[in-house]
Amino acid sequence: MKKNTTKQKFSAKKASTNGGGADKRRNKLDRSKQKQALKNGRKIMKARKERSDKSEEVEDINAFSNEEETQNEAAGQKQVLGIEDYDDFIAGSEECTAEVATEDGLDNTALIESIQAISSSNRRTFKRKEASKVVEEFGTVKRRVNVGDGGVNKFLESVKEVGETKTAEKVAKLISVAENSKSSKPKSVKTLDAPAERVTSEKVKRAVLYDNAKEEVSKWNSVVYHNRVAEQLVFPMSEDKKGFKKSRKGGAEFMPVTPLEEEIAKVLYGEEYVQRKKAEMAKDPEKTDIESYMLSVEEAMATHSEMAKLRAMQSYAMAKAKRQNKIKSKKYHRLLRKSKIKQQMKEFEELQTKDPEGALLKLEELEKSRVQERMSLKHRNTSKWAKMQAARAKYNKDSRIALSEQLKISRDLTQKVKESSDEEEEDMELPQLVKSSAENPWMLKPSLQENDKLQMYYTGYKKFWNEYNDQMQKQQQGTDKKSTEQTAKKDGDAGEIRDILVNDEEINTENISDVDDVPSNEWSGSQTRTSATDKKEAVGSTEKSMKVNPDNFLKITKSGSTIDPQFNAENSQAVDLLDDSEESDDESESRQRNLIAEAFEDDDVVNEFHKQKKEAIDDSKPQDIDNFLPGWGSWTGKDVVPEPRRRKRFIKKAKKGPPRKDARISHVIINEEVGDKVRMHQVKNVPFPFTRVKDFERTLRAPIGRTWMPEHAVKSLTAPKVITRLGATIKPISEDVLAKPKTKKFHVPNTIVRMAKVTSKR
Amino acid sequence: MKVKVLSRNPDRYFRETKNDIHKVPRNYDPALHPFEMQREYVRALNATKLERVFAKPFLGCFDGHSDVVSCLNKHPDQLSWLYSGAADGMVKQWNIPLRKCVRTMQAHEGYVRGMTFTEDSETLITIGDDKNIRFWSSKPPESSSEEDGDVLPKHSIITKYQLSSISHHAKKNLFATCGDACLLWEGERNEPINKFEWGADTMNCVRFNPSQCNVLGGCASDRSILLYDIRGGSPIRKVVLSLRSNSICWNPMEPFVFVAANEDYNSYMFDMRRLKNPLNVFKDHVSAVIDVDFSPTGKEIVTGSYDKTIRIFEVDKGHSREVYHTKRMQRLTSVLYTMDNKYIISGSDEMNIRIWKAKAWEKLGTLKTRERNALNYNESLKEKFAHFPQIKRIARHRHVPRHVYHAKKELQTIRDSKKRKEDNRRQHTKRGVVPHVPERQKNVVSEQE
Repeated sequence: MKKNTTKQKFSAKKASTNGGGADKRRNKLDRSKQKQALKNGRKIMKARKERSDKSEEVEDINAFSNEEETQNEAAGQKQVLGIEDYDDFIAGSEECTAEVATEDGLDNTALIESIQAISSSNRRTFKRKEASKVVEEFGTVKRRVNVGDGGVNKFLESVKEVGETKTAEKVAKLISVAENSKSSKPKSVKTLDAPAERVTSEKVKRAVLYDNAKEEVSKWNSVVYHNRVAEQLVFPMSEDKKGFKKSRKGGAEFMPVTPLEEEIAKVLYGEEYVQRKKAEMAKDPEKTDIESYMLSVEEAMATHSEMAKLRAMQSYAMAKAKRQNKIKSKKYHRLLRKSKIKQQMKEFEELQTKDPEGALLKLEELEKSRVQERMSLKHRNTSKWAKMQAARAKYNKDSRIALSEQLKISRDLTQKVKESSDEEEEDMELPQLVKSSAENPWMLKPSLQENDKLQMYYTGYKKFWNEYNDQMQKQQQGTDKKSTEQTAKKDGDAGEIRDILVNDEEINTENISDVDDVPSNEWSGSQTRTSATDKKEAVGSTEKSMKVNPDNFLKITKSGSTIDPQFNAENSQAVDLLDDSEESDDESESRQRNLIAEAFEDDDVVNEFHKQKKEAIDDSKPQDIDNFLPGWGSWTGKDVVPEPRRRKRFIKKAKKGPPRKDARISHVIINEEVGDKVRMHQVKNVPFPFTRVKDFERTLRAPIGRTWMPEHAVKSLTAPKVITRLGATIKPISEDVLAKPKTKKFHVPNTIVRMAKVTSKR
Repeated sequence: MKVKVLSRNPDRYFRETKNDIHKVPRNYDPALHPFEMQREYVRALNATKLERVFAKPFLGCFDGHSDVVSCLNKHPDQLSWLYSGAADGMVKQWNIPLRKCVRTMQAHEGYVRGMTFTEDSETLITIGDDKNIRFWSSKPPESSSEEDGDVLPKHSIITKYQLSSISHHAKKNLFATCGDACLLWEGERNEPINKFEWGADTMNCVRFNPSQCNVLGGCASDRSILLYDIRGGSPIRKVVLSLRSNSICWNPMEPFVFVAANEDYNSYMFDMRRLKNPLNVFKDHVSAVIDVDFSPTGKEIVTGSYDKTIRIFEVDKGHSREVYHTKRMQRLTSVLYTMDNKYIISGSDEMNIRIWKAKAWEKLGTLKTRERNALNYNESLKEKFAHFPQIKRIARHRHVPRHVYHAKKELQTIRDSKKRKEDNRRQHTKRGVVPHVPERQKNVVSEQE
């Protein structure tokens, strides 16, 4: 075909060259003829188009019976398309090309004639009738199958020959039906719209592509947003994100490990399978490793969340405990303890009504625990104070002594408890007694209600306390003067306050606080005393020697509810002491005032102030500007005095400013000029991101320096927004940072993997 | 009663050896440290002043070219390698820390128009006015003979197109050039594999998106900025500004954002999904902006202008935070932000390449912890008190060349008068006849499908 085309091309060229100079005119003529033909062709095309538009008939090229029309059209087409195209257009009719090839030496007319010679039957259609993927402009590829030209019949015959008569009949029937339907309603077949123009189609394409690109690029949204709002960005961003290691063969491969699994596998897959798997496993021991068959994502997720929850709960509990431990206040702890006891009491009461037997048991437990509490002892050198002393013991002899004393006390205490059996016996007896009685022991024995029990407890404590003190007395008798003083106190004798004060000065504070909790009350007592005496001294009143029972002070501070009748009197005395000091305060004040008045008798402060204010007002008044130049417009000289009227003309009077702020307040001077220097350091308007003054000021209020903030706070407050590593290239963001589909993205933390390993080994 | 006794563990204050340094407890009671705001303000003021004292941005220049430096390119992996092309066809490779030229190539005859690296950054591709595309090894030479200009290209393609810019795909072996049309090339094939056309105007810049690799941006001399999708094999969108854009650059951290350096003295930052409204307009230059580059963190841009200055803009602000100039630096032809976000490199008309610090007052090299902490504190103080007039004034104060100073004044006058005129028109016409157009949209003429 290609060969033919080239041949024809060649011939056409030759035709034009062979014409020579003499033939020019003829050529011209021919050309005019050609033009005519072209015109006709175009007309026909137009008409055809119109026709085809109007009637939607299926047109065959055979329908063009008019020979001339076809010829003209062909010529026109040729002119438009050029020879090569045209050759394609007439699609491989060998006759035609052969003819053209043989007619060497003909000019254009000859060519036209040759084209005229093309039989119309050889032409094929170029009108689209059905949708197809490959759209050829001139229908060069697709051949029309003409039903009428025997192709199908031939096929049918061949089928018959083979022996498939039935199918042949069927096909024939189908064809006839198709033909009938075609002939019966030809108008229902529609031609498709012509393809859109290139400009429009490209526009559509662009719009679609742009929408797609927009959508695709939006996948970065979340990452970009996070980066934008991030408090701190560290570049280069970490790229070494290890993914979840996939199992080599996926989840389908099942390995029976435990005997149960083996049995199940036997049932499910048969014995052979299990044997094979075992063999495989023996061959490849690595497969038993947990890493080879990983947790499924859901499982891992579940374990992970569980672990996280546990961890969170643990951390909450720890945080709470830590917080509570941190509270130094003894009062708080005491209250806490009390509230706990109260709570327990409440529960206990409820239990009493509901389950008396259980309550009794509980009581027993409580009793026991209380005894244990007493025995567990604070004097075992476990307290904070004791630890501190232990740390100090290296350097300090006193603390060493104190510690040893403590230990001794604790030893004594424990012994004491063991010895004092009578109280314990009472306690122990109680539940038995109650048990033996009728249904509700609580109703029967009202005397043993909680108050009494508490009373019992306190009395026991008191007893212990006295005993302990006796012992102390014995120990320290005769060795130290202060100890006698203290014992005197303990016995309820009043000590003279001044003496105590003197003694206190002597007493080593550490020695006093030695005996951790119980004697610390003593210490607190002395503290109150010293403060009282301090006050007394400051006032400078007459030195009264007061008799105060320090134990009573102790009682006031410790437990306000239990007041001795004896104490009341003493207490009132103590109050008297305070009243005295107040009175003396007033007195001294008035004296002071008199003194001051005397000292500053001559000073006239008020007048001085007024003078000052006047000066300030004068200073702040805007000054007149004197533009007078001597000699300007008049004579001047040594003795020439300018006219005052003339001079006045040049004085520019200053404008009266706004009234002073302190104009109506006689006893105050408000300096209005002082702000000028500060003002240039002040912000005039609320700056951009803020809308309210309050918000802006809030950002300024909190300091960020290490003078005001602890180190870790400073670090977080001054953290730079962008951190780059020295000498590291920062690569553009890559798709690795994007969130992948969930199944792929999930990363099992190392802890879980480790745990899974451990459990699997078990 | 709560008794507080001062008791300290001697282990805390008795040193066993001389070198034992104990933590000293600190009392943060605000009563002991009054006037915190005032004191911090003074510190901020001092920090700002110190910043200006230490602001010495110019680090050095690489001289060696004997004609206008037409283009610069940074190696995507190696911080120390810099490549520059000149108007006489020379391409030089520089070692930045040594400030030395390590290789010289007579790459083209006439202008070297552009350079790019292949995705494996092994090969440097250059284009020039001699219609050649040449492939070079990006590594510095081993022998000394190569330094003297005896380097031969690995490969070379002779094209029939005038080429003005080149950009390589980040992952595939594809690169795009532009000139009369935008062409897509594959590897070392002699013919382009695709040709994108939309309109008949010549293009002067083309850039591949480094992260969303299938998107290609370019700007043409018909004042438009074009986007292409190489998968779809077609241009996808065009936005026309009031004047021509000279160069564009994609944000490396925000793949849908790009910035265009425009002839109208401004740079425009666009979101490729909303081309009608630029995200930001960077104003301050007093002449056409020739080149623009994003910092690798995507937080800043650097622009080089025909007004002989380099400016650094923060992405979310409209005005520059910094302006660099020297007495001898002429019109800028290209600017770069180095890959470590620390330096800026500029090539200019007077044959020099200059290297600048991106942060003018930054101390180079490693810092001690205490030093770094102090600097961090200063930075955050400056930020905290940035709105205070004195601090603002000191931080903003820059000396600029006389012509820039005057041009700026003049521009301001022009702008004011225009505004005044518009206001007057608005006042004396019916409501709505003279609409309020946002500053960002003023120079966007149209968005075309």
